[in-house]
Amino acid sequence: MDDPLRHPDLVDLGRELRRRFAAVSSAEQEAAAAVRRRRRTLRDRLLDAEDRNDRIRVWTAAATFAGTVEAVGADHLVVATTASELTIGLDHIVAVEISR
Amino acid sequence: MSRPRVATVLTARPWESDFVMAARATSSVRIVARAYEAGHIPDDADVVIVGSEVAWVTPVLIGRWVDEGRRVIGIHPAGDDPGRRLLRAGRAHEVRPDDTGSIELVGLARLLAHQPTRPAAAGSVIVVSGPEGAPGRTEVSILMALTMADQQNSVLVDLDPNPSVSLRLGLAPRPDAADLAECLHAGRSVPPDLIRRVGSLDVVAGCFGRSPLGATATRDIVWGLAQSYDRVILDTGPWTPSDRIVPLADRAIIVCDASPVGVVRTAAMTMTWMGPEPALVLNRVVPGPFDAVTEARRAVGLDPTIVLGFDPSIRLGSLSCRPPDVDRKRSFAGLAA
Repeated sequence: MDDPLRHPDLVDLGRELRRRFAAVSSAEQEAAAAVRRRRRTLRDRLLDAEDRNDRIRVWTAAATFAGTVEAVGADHLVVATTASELTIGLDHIVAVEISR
Repeated sequence: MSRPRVATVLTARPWESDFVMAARATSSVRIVARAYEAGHIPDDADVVIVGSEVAWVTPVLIGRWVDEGRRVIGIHPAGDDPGRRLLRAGRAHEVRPDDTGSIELVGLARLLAHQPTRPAAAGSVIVVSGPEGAPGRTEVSILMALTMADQQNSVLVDLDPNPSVSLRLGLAPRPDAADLAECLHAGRSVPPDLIRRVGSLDVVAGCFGRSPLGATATRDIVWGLAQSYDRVILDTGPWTPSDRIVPLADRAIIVCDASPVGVVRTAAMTMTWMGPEPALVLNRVVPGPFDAVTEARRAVGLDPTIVLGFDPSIRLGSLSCRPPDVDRKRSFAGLAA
């Protein structure tokens, strides 16, 4: 028998240990998700949108642009709209709506 | 050549965030998801990278991804033999320790993404659900399974929190679904000694007096059996909006008791239904002033696919494991088609 916890006398103990291990693993993963949410930047969100080919709507102080993310540079974003490609400075973005 | 679409499973271990950073830095793959739950992996992901340390990652889940035609890279903590075995048991295409360089992993993902794969066929899953109040879910499940057993390799699974299949069929309480889930979690294929044979029927007994099966164990049982059987028929408890079983199914049957209370309960239940489009089975119809078929159609919004009269032979048939008569068999077979 390769797993001693499969011995009939230890089945319940093994089950409980596995349950606790799964609970700890789940808590660890939840913490990782929370850390990811707290650390990510606007640029990260835009990179996610580029990789997934999501549609975005970007608000600047002057106007609103909608399209897909063509590229995310170090300090700018390129949005492909139906008519053209727009380059927007990341510093000028007020809000972003991402939809799948 | 387009950049491969890669999904990772979010974990607290550093390999995952390192991999994402390397993928972003090299721009050689697209990160389409960092999944927190199994359902977050997009259907169109070419490659899934998963760590063995994640609680909901099991050999059955990895096997399912592989069967769906995705390439899977498994990462285990260096020196962790059980983790490595779990990934191997799931048939991951590549298994690496977590001290593998992130650039190397990105290259591996690119390489695997362009290798051809062929999705494997899995059996279809039929769930028998219904509102509270004993409308006859178990009866219908057993009749459905008996009908299927003649035609295809099928299995009946009792996932009701208050299981009654084994009581009706006179089976001993163990081994049960929890034993099967543990075997599958340990990376074994479906062991024949955990499947009970009653006449022509293969049955997995429900869990008596034990804590209800968790979402991961339930999913493992359903998908694990779907790898071995053409049809998996699930007898579930009363529907609740938090039900984790119904979304796993390809087809659904709602059993409605043909009484005014039964119809009202079914109508309330279908308001919150989240699952495949259901077929309605109207059970225990008796002649009288209450026209159950019309009322069910009006209140529930579904046309009854099968109408079962208040016939003791139906209950007796489910108790004695006797297949239904030819007409009913044809109706039940139509439900699964």
